[in-house]
Amino acid sequence: MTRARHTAAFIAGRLASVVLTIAGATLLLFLMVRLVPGDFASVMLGPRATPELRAQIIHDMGLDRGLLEQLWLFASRAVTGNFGEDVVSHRPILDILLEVIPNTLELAFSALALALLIGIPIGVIAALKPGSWLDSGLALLSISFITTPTLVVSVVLFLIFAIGLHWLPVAGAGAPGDIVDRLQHLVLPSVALALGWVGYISRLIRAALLDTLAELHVRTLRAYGVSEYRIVGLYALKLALVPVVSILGIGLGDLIGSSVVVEIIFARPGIGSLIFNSIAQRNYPVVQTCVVFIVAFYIVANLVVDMINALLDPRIAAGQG
Amino acid sequence: MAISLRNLSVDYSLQQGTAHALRGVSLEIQEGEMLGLVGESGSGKSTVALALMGLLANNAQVTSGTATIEGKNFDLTKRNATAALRGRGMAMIFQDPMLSLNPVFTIGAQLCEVLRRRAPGSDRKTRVEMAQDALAKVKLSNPARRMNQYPHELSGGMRQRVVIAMALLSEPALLIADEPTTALDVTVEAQIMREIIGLRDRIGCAVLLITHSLGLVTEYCDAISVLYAGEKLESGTVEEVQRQPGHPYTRMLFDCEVPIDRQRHADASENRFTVIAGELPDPRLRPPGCIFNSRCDVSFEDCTTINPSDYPVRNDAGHSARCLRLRTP
Amino acid sequence: MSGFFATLKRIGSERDGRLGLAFTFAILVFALIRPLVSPDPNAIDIKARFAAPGLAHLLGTDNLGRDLAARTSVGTRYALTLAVMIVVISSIIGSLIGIVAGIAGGWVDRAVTAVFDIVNAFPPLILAFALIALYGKGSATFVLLVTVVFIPQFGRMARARAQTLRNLSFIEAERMLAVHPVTIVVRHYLPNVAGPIIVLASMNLPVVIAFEASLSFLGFGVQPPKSSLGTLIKDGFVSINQSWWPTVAAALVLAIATLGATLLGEALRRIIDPKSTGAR
Repeated sequence: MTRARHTAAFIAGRLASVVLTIAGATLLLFLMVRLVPGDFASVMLGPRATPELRAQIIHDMGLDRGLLEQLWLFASRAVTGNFGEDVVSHRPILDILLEVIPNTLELAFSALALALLIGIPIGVIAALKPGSWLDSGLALLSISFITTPTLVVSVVLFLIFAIGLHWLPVAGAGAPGDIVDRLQHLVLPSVALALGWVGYISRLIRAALLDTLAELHVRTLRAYGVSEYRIVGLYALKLALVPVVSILGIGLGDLIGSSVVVEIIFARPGIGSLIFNSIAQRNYPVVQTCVVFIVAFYIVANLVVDMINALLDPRIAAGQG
Repeated sequence: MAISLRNLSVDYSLQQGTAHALRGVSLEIQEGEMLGLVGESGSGKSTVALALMGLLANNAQVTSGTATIEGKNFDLTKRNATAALRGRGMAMIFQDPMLSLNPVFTIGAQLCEVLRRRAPGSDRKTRVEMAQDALAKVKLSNPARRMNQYPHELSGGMRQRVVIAMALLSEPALLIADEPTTALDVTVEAQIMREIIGLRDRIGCAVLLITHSLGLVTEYCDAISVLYAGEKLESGTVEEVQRQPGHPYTRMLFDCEVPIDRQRHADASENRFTVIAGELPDPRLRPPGCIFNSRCDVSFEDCTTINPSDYPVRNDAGHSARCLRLRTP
Repeated sequence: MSGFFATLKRIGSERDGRLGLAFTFAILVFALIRPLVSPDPNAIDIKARFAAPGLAHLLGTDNLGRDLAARTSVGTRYALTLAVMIVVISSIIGSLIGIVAGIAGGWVDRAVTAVFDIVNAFPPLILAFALIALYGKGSATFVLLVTVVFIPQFGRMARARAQTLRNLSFIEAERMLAVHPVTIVVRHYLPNVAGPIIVLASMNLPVVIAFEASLSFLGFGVQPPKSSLGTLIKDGFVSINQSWWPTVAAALVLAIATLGATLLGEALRRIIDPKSTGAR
């Protein structure tokens, strides 16, 4: 009973902070618009600017109201799915967004899955024989993965497979509905995006596993004859996953951020290339909506991550973690 | 069937050199009995336990030693010599129950893990029942609920009962209890010791109780061995050793103990503790002669040169000590 | 200065530190030595378009026949300069804000922490996009905008340090003796905050290098006629079907620079702050 109450309080607290942070981030974006030197609407519209268009933009974005009123307007419209209209194509922004978001989510989550599937085993193997040549080799590999910018990885993969081998398609996201085609289009971008996180996760897992294996409860299991494989692969790994999972929230944000580069290089439609193109077209309402959306996704992802962690480590929900 | 440990020596390689943590330690424990292994911190008590279990740290090396458990002989110099016995022939209760259970698995999961080895082939339901039954046997309240709780939801004493239940489930021939009550409140000490005695009586195993507290030994143990700086100085039944310690160190240890009739936590000024002056000798360089010589109050010339062998005390069977004063001329 | 060399020596005493020093040194030499050996980076030679690496052009030429060794060297220098500027400015501003928040406590602290939290709620590249979309391109603006993105990290670290310092007895004593607050900050806070901030700055340098390259690659960073590693990769990428060499050369330099800076930063961290595991 107390456990349930602790968990409920934990979730409620986190939800409140999620709403506040999203509101704060949106407010910051509005503030940034107001701090633009000169007349924002004219700057944004550039040569397109007509008095009518200017007035419409100012009204639609709530720039003629107080800051909090603008936030309220935005929030109450957002709840109904109304994010305003694209200045260029005059389509609802939500439609444009919904068209591309699945591509980006596909990319980010497959990269995350790859990073976990490759990173965790590498970390476990390195932790099994700390100090061995295998360990130090893997350490160097991990740090190279971490430090090589996504830009470099993408360009090199593109070169090898587009100019060199022709093994995999290098442009677009594949034909809608054709799963094989889409998967083939997904391979290179997600590998490019995942590589750095393979390194991060393997290093984290290795460090956390080594810390955990030195703890006394591991000795208890050994004393009762539990096999080393079960100890490392089950009992210690579950504890070692806690710091890894906590960083996955940041990871998802980083993956979405870096997906811009990947989406441009592999000519993939997605939220990254949408932002990119919208900036080029001075289509600020679209940029703003995309950014709010990404921030909200990022914050909610962090919330989910905390929930998963509370499941992994019951001490966190009890407030003792 | 008696458990015996013969001529155990363990070295630790440290940055400052090789420390000889144990030198030629032998112990014998009768079936169904509890042997108290007493010594100050640094005397090597826990090393004995870890060497028996094969759980020594990587920088430790068993240089000599054999053990007989359940009638089988084990060469302890081989790494993992007793691996087959862990969780079957041997079980261990640790010092700090706050740290000796995995924080992210339920009590039930950890108890059932022991049964995977002890009762292979049993199904999950049987294991859960057995585990719950064990919790009831160590008098943990509300065992069904405890099964689904995590260690942090239990008090230290309750956690130690869980570890005792683990030991109970593994039905060992030898149970090693390494300072099982040191980290706990004095008020639960007696309860935990009673559960350990209960476990011994239930499965008839031999118990090795490692402790720095003579009080615990005299209260609960059948036999006693005294360890000093990695060497065993005296052993015998508790009764005999208490009546007439054969070694000056043992005598001094008994003198240090606060008499049972005086309150343990009374104002410190009321108690006059006797303190044994001096420090443990350097474990890297054993001086010749008796290891206790530098702190002994009755040493004489020979003590600096002759390393005493084990002499019987008062012709009591099984009571012996390593002091030159016991030498029969 | 002897402290500097002692630190270098300690960095060089382990494998990763040695590798970091070697890579960093190689990159610095490459970035600085250009004027001595290579031709003019902007000299166009249409006849020598997409030349392969050779004696005349060590790294070949680009689509206009410009010498790539020279261009990459200049681009590296500019990229490193920008990155160092961004890290230095954001660490100084972040430290000052963090120290003030840590000392002041109360609502000032809460407000600053809230702003840091909100800024941190943006993925860095995305925040940079939003800022650049609003305030435009150009090197000075670029440095300023990226600085904003990185300030909260330094601010949080400095704030945490300042908070622990605030309660130390010797500082409390000076406060009671009415020593001027600025004196206390200069005498106690700055030296104590400096260590972890330097570590964080050195760990962030490769991040900023990669960050700048990504933004410049996308056209949001360094603008022509200036070039950095990011713009070089972009220029090469545009004509990648004719010649893959220009892209690879710049990408390789970028990868070595970030690897070297990271190894160096980690070695420095192990020396200054040996307790942290530095998993991230």
